[in-house]
Amino acid sequence: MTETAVGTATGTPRLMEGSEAIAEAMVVAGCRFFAGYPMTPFTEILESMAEKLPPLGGVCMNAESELEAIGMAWGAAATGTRTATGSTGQGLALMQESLAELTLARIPMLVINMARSQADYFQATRGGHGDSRRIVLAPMDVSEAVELTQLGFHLADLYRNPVMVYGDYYIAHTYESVVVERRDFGPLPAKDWALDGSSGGTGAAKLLSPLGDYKQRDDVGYDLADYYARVEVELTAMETDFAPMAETGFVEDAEVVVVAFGTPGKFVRYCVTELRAEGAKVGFVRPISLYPFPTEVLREAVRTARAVAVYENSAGQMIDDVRLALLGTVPVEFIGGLTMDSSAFGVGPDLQVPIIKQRIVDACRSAGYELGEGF
Amino acid sequence: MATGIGGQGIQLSAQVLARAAICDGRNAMLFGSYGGMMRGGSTDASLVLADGPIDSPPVLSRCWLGIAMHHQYLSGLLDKLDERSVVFVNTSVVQDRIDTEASVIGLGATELAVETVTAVCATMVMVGAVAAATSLLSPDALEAGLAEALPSYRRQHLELNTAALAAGREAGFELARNDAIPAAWTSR
Repeated sequence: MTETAVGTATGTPRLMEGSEAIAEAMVVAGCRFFAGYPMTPFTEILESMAEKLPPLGGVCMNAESELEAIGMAWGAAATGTRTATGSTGQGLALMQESLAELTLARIPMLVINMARSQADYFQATRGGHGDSRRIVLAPMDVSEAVELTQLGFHLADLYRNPVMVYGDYYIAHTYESVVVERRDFGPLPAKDWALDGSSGGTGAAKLLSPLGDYKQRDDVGYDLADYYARVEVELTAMETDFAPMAETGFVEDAEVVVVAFGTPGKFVRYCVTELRAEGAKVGFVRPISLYPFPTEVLREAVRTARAVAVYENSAGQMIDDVRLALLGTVPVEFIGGLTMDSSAFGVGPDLQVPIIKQRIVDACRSAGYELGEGF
Repeated sequence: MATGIGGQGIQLSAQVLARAAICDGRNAMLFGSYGGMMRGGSTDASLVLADGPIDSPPVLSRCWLGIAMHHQYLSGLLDKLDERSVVFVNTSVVQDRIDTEASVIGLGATELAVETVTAVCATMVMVGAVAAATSLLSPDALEAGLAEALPSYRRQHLELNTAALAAGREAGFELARNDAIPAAWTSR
C-alpha cells in the first residue's frame, strides 16, 4: 500500500521524547557542534545537546540569540565539523540572513526548524535573500525524524549545502518507542575545502566566503558575478540530482487525493486508511521533501482523481506548490486552516481524526464524488 | 488518557505507565499537553499502548481508559469516552457525578494517599490501582517504569512513590474483587 523513502531502523526500542531522539540522532550522525537559543518547541533539543555533546568532546553553545547561534554554527561548520543549529519560526526568521549567506559560501549544516504549526512552510522552503536554496525534509513522527535528521547531515555534506528538517510541537513532545542507530547513506566527498588548519604554512590558503572562494588581488578585484554563477550551477545540480521524497497510499484508483505533510500528514494517512476500509475511493500523498517538492510523484498520484484536497495547519502555504505541480489539470481545494490552543505552540484543536475525516468526506462531495450512505 | 491540574503529577504518572509498558515488552506512544502551567493549569496525557508498531497520530479522538484526577478541565477527557470505555475517577476531588456513558470507577485516591504516603502521591496511587484493577501492567514493570521516569533530581522520592504504587495496587485488587471492572472490558 504505502512506501516510505526512508527505511525503518531495527534494534531495541527505547521510550524517548522526540526532542531527545532528534538530539541522539544528531550525535550518532557525528554532529559535534550545536548552537541555539531556547524557544518552545525547540528548547528541549538544545537542552539535550548540551547534555550529550560535552562528554563526547563536542561543544554545545547556548547563544545570546538566534543571530549568534547560527553565526557560531557557521564558524564551526567551516572547519568541516558536522554542525547543526535550529529554532522555531520567529528565531528561524532571525537566522535567515546568515542561512542564505552561508549557503552562498557553500557551508554544509543541519538546521532543525521546530515550527509552531505549519505556517513556516514559506520561510522554510523560500526564506532568505539571493538565490540560495536548500533541501527541506518534513518527518511525520519521531521515528521518521530520527531517520531524516541523519539523512539531512548526509545530504548537507553530499551537496555542501545547508539542509533543514521541519518538525513541530507534536514531534518535539511526543514520547515514542524509538530506535536510534547510526545509518550509512553511502560515501561522501572529502571535505578538502574545510578550514581545518591542514594547509597552514603551505601557501595554499583556503577561503570560504559568500563573496567568493579564491584569493582576490587589488588589481583584479572581486568578480562576484562569476562566483554567483558558479554557485547557481552547483545549486541546480543539487536540485537535479536529489530525488524528491514522498509517501503515497491508495492513489491507483482514487477519486480524491489528499495532500498533507509532517504530523498532519500522519493524521491524513490514518483518516484515508479508515475511509478506504469503509469503501471510499480516496488516496493520499505525503510530501517528505518540501523542497525540492515531489512534483512528479504528485502528478502521477492524481491520474484518476477528480479533485485534490490539501490539509495544512496554516492558512495554506504548501497548497501553492501543489497548484504549481498540477498546473490546473485537477481542481485543488483547501481543507485545512490555522488552529491553535491557548498555548499558541502549534497544538491545533482541528488536528483530530473525526474532524479531518469529515473534511475529506465533504471535499469528496463538493468534487461530485458521491460516497453513498454511511458517510 | 489522564487529566488533572498542573502539580498533581499527571505527566509523571503517564511516564510511569508508558515506561512500564515498554518494560512489559509493548510499544508505547505518549503525548503530554500542558502549556506553560506548572501549577493549577490544565494538563493531560494521551498514551497509546500496542503489541505491534503504533500507527496512531499523537492526538486521540477516543479512548478506552480514562484517569480523572480533578474536576477542572475534565471535559476534554469525557468527550473521548464512549459506552465501551472505563474511567477511574479520583472521588476525593471529583465529587460531582460525571456525565458519561462510560463505566465509572471511583477511588478516593487523594485520601488514600494522605493515609498511606502523602497527598502529592495521589496520582501515583491511582496509577497503581488502575494497573492492578485492569491487569494492564505487572507490578515489576510499574516499579521499573517508575525508576526510569523519576528525573535525577527526584531520585530521593523513589521509595515514597513505590509505596504509593503499592497502596494503589491493594486498592485496585479490591476494586477488581468487587466486580467494579466490566468483565468484557478486562479481556481486551
